Amino acid sequence: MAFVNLKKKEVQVKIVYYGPGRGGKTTNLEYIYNEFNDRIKTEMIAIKTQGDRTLFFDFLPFEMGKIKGYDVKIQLYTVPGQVKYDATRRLVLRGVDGVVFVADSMKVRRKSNMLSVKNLQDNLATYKKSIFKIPLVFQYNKRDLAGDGIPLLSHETMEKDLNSRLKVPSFEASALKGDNVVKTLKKIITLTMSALEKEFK
Amino acid sequence: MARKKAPITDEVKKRLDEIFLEDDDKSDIEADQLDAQTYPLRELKSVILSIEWEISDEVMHRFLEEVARLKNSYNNDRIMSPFFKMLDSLGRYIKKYKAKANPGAVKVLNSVYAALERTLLSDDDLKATEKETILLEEVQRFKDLKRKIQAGRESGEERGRAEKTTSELVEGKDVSIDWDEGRGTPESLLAAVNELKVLIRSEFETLREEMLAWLDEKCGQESKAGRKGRKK
Repeated sequence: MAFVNLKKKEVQVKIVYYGPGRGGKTTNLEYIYNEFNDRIKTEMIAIKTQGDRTLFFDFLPFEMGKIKGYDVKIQLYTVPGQVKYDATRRLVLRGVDGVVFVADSMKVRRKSNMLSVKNLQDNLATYKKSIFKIPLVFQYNKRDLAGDGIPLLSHETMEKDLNSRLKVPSFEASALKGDNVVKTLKKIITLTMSALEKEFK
Repeated sequence: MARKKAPITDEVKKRLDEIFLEDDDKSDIEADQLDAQTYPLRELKSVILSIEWEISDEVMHRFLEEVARLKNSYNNDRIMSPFFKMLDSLGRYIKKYKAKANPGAVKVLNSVYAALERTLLSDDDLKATEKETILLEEVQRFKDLKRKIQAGRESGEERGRAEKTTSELVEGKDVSIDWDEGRGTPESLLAAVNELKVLIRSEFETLREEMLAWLDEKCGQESKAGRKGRKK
């Protein structure tokens, strides 16, 4: 749940980018940081291993300014996608308010997408959160690879595989090129803020 | 009645748009701004075209809003400002009476708009005096319409005075069109009329001088001819 400081009139919202390894979670945050750094005036913290993989998490905080009299601070996190880092993923999910699931559009990653959604459901359950209730947005990433002749899953297939029961907003995207990165971010923040407002009413 | 609270999503979306404005959005906005500079009447023209199809409260509200915005922008322009004042008056009148409005009102509105567009977008093609002439023509049309409406209303009042209720009379007084001479006649128009007066006066003086000279000449010739005749 969001951290609310009534005295300081401050709200901290935690949004986690989840998904299979090498799916583009960090690339999403890097795009946001590189494109809007002059406006969000922040630092991105990324802890990587030698192979340029996320070891613990990436962290990108920024302030949205006052909304309904409260200073709203958004914290974007990524989790390490590799299967072996499940404990870290669980840890990062603590106190999460909204999730962006970055799925890999490559055909060869179909199974890992589905496993990762299941993993998200399980890890949320450890905090007594339901994947059906938490604000969630799907991002079908790497659509730009179609131009390179790499076989991709169709939007319909990805919807059927991942979103047929959840029925949450989804976007095709290219985190590398920035396509729909901001749209995804705006959507998850809006959904999360709306859910928090209902929760605090 | 308690005011309905605006949902948080509107505020969040607005803030997000401010923070995460992308280059594509920027270029769209810049294009719109450029368009607004080169063609400031775009929105007004679109609403006027809507009036051709349908005179509804919504369309007339949009029209009056856009006129008010432009009127404000051209507040210090002595030529443009009267155009917007006329459009405002016509708009309020048409909004009030809709289908019952004088059929000439929409025609005059279109004519005033066409003249406004011609004058505003002419840049330096038209001289100030030409612009004033265009404006005066439209003012004349506007005044003619006003006369017709007033004449129609007076004859209607005479016919139905006996059965008119108090509320109808109040409504009659509340006609939104601004027919007041003092308020409706802009300073620039008065200045133009004065200029015309001076011009006509000087023309008459010149004409009078020429006529006097011609008469003198003619009289001189006649008296010469008379003298010759008498000598014979």
